[in-house]
Amino acid sequence: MKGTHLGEFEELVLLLVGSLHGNAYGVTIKNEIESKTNRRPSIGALHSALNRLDEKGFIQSEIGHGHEDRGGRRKKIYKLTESGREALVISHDLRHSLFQLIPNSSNL
Amino acid sequence: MTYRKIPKWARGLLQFLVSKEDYEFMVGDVEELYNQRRRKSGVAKSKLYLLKDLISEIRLAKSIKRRVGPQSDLGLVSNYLKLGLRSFMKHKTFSFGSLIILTLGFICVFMIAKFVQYEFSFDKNGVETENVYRVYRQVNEATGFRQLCNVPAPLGPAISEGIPEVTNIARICKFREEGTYALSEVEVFKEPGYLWADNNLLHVMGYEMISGNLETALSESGSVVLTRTAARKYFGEDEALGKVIIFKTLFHQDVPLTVTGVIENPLPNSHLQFDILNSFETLASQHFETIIDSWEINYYFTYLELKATSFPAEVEMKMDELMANHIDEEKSAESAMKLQPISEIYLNPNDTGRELGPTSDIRYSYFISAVGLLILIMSSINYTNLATVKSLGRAKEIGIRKAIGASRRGVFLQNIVESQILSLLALVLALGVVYSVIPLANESFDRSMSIDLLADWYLLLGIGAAAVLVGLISGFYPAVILAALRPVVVLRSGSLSSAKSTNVRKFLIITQFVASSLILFSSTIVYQQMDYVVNSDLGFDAEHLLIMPLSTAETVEKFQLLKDKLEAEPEVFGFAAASQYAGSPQLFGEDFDVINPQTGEVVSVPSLRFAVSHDFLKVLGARFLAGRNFNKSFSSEENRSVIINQAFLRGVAIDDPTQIIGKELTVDFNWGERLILNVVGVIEDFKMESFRAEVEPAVFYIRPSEFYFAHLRVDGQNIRRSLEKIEAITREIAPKIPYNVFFQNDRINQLYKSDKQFQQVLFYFTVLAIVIACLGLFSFSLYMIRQKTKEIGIRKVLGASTGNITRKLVMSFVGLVGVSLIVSLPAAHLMTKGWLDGFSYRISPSIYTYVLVSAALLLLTMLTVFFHSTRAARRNPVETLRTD
Repeated sequence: MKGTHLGEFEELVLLLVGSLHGNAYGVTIKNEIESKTNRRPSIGALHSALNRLDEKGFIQSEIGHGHEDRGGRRKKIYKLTESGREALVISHDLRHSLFQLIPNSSNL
Repeated sequence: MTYRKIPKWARGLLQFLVSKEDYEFMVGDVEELYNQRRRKSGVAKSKLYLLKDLISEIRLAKSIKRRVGPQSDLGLVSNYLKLGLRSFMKHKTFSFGSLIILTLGFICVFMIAKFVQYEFSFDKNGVETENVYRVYRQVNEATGFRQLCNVPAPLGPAISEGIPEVTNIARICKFREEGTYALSEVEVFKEPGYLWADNNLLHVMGYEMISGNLETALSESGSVVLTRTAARKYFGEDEALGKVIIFKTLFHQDVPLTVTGVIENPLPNSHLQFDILNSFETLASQHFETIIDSWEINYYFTYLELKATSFPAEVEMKMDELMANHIDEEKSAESAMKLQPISEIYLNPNDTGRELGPTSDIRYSYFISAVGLLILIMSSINYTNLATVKSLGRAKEIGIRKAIGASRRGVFLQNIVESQILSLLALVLALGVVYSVIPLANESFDRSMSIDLLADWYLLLGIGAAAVLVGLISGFYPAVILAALRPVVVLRSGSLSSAKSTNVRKFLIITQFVASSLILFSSTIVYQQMDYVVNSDLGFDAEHLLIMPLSTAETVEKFQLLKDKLEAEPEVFGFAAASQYAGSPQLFGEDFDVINPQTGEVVSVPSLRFAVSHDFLKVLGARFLAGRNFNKSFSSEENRSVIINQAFLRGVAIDDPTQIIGKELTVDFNWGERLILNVVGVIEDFKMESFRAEVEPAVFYIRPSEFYFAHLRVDGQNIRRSLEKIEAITREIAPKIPYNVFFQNDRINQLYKSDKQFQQVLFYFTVLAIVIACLGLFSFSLYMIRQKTKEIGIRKVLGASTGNITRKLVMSFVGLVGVSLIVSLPAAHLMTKGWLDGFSYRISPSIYTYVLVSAALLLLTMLTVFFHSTRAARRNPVETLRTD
């Protein structure tokens, strides 16, 4: 297994995989990023991020059914793994605890 | 909207990028996005997005590495790279030797490519001038034909009216004298680079206007267009548009010209160079209303712009018809009207004497390209040799490698990678050197080669491909040898040497020297040919010949006085006058009719005409073949005398010069005058016009009204004092003339500028080629001799002297070079012979040249290998034999 460091973009993708509840695949994740964050990642960037997350064991994929929208081609649906959830929690806790250390605006 | 699949090529790309299992999902995603966008933003945009998506997917190619795996050959490449760099550092002598050789080779090739690229870049700047042609006449003569690019003035407008394929015409006229422009009484400028031009010229040639209206700038009488440089010269930083310049006509009238436009300077790589454009309308109104309408006077250059779809050959035929309608039948039958694309003028000037800018010779480009190719071959063989010898020393390493399981392919690949490293490194070094040297080369050769890497992309691509190819080819042979090596043999004996590989090496060394001696032989011959063109016998003495334009009425009036005064000075050996000088732009020509004394037919010979003073030919030092020079007395009899040159005899098709003495020559001038002249003398040809082509027929007669240029033979002992004296006397007698003398030699040198440049360039590259060859031999001899260390030791023990051994070693190399000389001599002879055949004036290579060059090469070989040979021969055999 590769290192388990979580990049900023990777974290975003990982969060969305979790929040999309079993409908997370390339196109939905991309659309979701676009609508929620106003960023326009390229599909290649997304695919390679998904590959990396897969390698790190944070997500798992299963084969989803084809849909007429994609010419009957099957899709690769991603799900959060236990270690993925853990990584998100660690990252969230870290951020939260660090955020607490920032003094209140009144003290500035 | 229905579902659309993405194109096949896009699917193919994805298939290549990702693994088989992932392919379906990837294509699905990309396709879904594509269809989504088609609905939202339309077909065109979605295609663009698709392209962007595909490009972004390229990063997935990393997964290819996963599929290939570290165990495969490709996976080992990174290991080979590391080993290659290590061995580069370990064998420093070899590495830097080969690196220098390859780098020098690439520098030569790239420099030559830049030079040739510049040669071919003339008048090829964009689409504007792609369909622009210049009209020329092909005049048939007894001995072949001549090409002349001056045509009558009304031809242009007639073409524009009568030939629908022609969209635009532009005419140019250049006087043989400089123009005189003035801003005030005292600010008077001489402008050799002024032209008379049609309004259309700016448009046809696609000049860039800085100010003024492109469409109308030259349409009025009294308008003038300046280049950026000229505008600055006259008006500094001020706006030139609308200002007035006084132009002094040939008839000494002042014509005010208004600046109606300023254009960018003509590009340096254009055949058409000028500083000032006077309008054609001014020419018509101020100078020669009659000759601008005449179909008989050929003074004008005519440029045509054709429709992109038209055929030049058809236009040529229509031009012939036009001419036939306007001039008499006999004359029109003699010549055919032709078109030349302006982009070909520089390299193939059909009328060298009259060109409006620099000209060159395409044959020089061909030759120097061949030299470049030979240098490339030579340095790559050179590297092969070195690498082969070096690989012998690595036999043990490779043997062990193979013993522990390296495949043949692996060993082969490793060697190729090493030679690629070297070759690409050399390429980078060479590019660095070339691009930093170009500004210097531009300065010394007066060129403007670009250092724009982007604009040179195809050159870079070419040279990059050449470097990869050199790496492949020169690494190939040593790679094969090492790959085929049998570990058992090598590891037992510790070295690798077979008779076969020695033979191949000998063959390679010979090939390398064949290439370098080919370069040396042919360069020497080409150099001699250029020298011959540049320094060939002019037929007259151009040394210390001063030319003084006598263009004002004053000096023509005071000619005799000036002559008497100046000839009285001891510094002046002679003072004569003529209507033109050797190499003057736009020489006058006329058809002279004479009866051939052998056949009785009337022959019309197009000739240059020179109105001269009686002693002109004497001052020039022309040599007489028959008859006499003019007499001093100005009798009416003498004014009818005429002297012709040898080329005129050829035009009439008679051999014996005495046959034509006393015969009559008839000429009808275009101003309606008929002259009947009596031939009194025949002189040897001397070159007045083109210095590359054959001498044209020329006719000399006395006519003081056309004394435009005084020719002074001055004392060469103290040129400065002579010049000062002449200036003082001239200013005293004719104070108003713009005193503006120049030496005949300087003018001739200017005409040969491109030849001389090429000569220099060729010289440098030949020297470089020889240096490369010697460097190669130097390091090669080191390795060869090292192989023989033991043999030398044994020989010494058995009683051979140091001198004996040195001689034997040196002679073994001399033998190889000798063989290559024998091979290359006939090849070089054939090569240069074919090249020389294209010149009307050419040398015949003498046997001494070959002998001398061969001797020089052999001597150089001896000197090069002598160093390592003596060192090896002097070593104590105890040292060399102890190690076993």
